[in-house]
Order: sequence, then structure tokens, then C-alpha cells
Amino acid sequence: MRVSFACLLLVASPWPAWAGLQFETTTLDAKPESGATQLMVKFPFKNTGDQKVTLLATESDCGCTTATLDKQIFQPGESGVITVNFAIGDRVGPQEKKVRVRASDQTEPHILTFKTNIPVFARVQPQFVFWANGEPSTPKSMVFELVDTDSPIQNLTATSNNPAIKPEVRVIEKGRKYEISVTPGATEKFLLATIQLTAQLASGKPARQMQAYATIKPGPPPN
Amino acid sequence: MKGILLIFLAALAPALAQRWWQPPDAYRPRTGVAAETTAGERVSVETVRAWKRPFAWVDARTKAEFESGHVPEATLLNEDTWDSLLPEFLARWQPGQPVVVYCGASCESSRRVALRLRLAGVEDVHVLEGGWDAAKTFRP
Repeated sequence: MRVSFACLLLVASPWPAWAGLQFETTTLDAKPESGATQLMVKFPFKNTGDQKVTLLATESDCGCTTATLDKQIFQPGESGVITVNFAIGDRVGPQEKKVRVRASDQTEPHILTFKTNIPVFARVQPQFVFWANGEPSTPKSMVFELVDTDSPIQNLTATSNNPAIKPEVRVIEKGRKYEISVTPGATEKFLLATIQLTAQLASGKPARQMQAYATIKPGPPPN
Repeated sequence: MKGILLIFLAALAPALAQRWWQPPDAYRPRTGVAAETTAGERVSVETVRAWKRPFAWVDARTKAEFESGHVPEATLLNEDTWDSLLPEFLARWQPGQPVVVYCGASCESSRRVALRLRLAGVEDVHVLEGGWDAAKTFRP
């Protein structure tokens, strides 16, 4: 008798694990297309409880991530999707973003996480060179190195938006590594030049562009 | 007595089932995001205040957040539009000057901006503990 009472209690007790929103997964790995500016990730769910669930709000830990909902109220047994849009912007490398979904089925938010890796095409190091005011106009170098080895490059060109700064490209390792030597005409005045690097891809895909900078800084007057 | 124990176990079952069904990771609070930092990278407002040398502030939040209030003299620099914001930083930063980066609620973005500045060639870059909440209390 006591055992049957206990069993009855077990059956009658609330089952929070099954009551409410159940996501197919709360953690996803997503792969963006090469050169994509947006990444869309979907989190399907189902209301497995016996009461309707209202989605109250979404919050994310980055201004770059926004979540959109199909609708707000989900009846028992009803399915839906939370779509997360990630504005890639100028981000590179591994990324992990979280979205908190507040819903009426539990006091704590549901936490949805997605991970992605924005491919790095190439690196320029350092990304800028500088001369102090009055410093001799000797050349300074940056190194362009291909990271995405699936996209070997045919050639690299460098152009400056300021005629007082002259970049020259020298091959270190064809298709992969280049030196950009930058020479200022004079170093008497403040100057900031953008050096546009254009890599023509061997595969015939659209050219890739990167920026580097050269600046002449105000400094102590020359002796 | 045996019955009471059975009832207790029965009452415990849903909680155990929930733990198995929905791992505790799902309830991890926002502050639980692991903060990987390099040695000496993080600085407090007090440390910055005690510096006797000039330094540069970098605001790694969004443009909208920056426009609604920022540390005087701070330069906006984030990964949303890194390429278009970096020249403004380079124009204002003096070589050798330390840089202090702050961000909003989650300080992931300030660490990422600090890392990218180092990769770009800026050597002395720090992340402010407490982010924007701490930065706005800064008085030289």
C-alpha cells in the first residue's frame, strides 16, 4: 500500500525536466561561408509541457548578435525556432556567443550558445609602421603572410592613399609570404596613410583586400 | 519509515532527471564565461589612476554605446568595423604609450580588441577590470 502511494506520488509530482521548452540542442557549431558578413544559426525547440509557454525576452552578450522569434506564445506540443543572427563585421578567429531566452516555463533563462571560427585569410605584421617627427626617412617593413593555405595568391600589390608614403612589395615566398617596405618622403609633418594590399588569388576567385598603415608622429623636435 | 524514504526518493527523482536531461551548463550565469588573460593584462582603475605616464583609453563597445557616453579622450575601436576605426586610433596614439581597453557587460570584446592591437604592433595593452562600470568612475 505504502509502495503504491509512493508510486502515485512519483507520477503525480511535477516533472520540470519535461515541462516547458525543450531545445534540440543548446550548443551549436556553425561554419560561415568564406567572406560572409552574416551568420545565421537556428535553435529549434518544442513545448513539451502541458501549459502554454510565453517567450518573454532575449538578451545577448554582444551587440553583434540578435535573436528573432517566430512568435511569442507556444501551446503544448507546439514547435518553434529561435533564429540568431551574428553580424561578423571585421571579426576573425574563434568566436563564442551566448543568447539568453527568458520564457514563462522557468525562472532561469534558457542559454543558447553557438561557436564559430571566422577564417583568417592572411596576417600583416606589424599592421602599421611609424616614424617620429624628424626621424630619418629610412624604409620600414611589414610582412604579409597567407594563413588560409587553400587560397594561394598569385601576386600582391600595395598602394598608398598618400603620395608621401611609398610602399614596395618584395616576394619572400611566392604565393605565401611578402615583405612590404614603406618609405616616407619626409618626416616633418604629421601624416597617416592607408596602404591597401590587394591579393590576387591563384584560383581565380575575387581578389582579397587588407589594410596596413604608415604614420608620422609628432615627437621631440630633431636636434 | 521505509515508506517515508521511498516518498523522499520519489520526490527527488524529477530533480535528478532534470540534471541528467538538462545539464547545469544551461544555467551557468553570464559571469561564468572563462576569462583567459595574459599576465599583467588586467588592470584596475586604481592601478591606472596611479600611473604617472600618459596612456590611451580604448572603448571596445558598440558605436551606439560609445555615443551614449564614454571616458573623455577614449577612442572607439571594436571588431564590428575594425578596419575603419583603427586609423583614428593610430592617429591619436603615441608610440610607447600604454593602452587601456574597456568594454561593456561581458569583457570578452575588450580582451579581443587588446589581442588584435598587440598583433597590429601595439605592445603595452591592458584590459580594464570591471569594464565600463569601472571606467566611468575614473578620475585622473
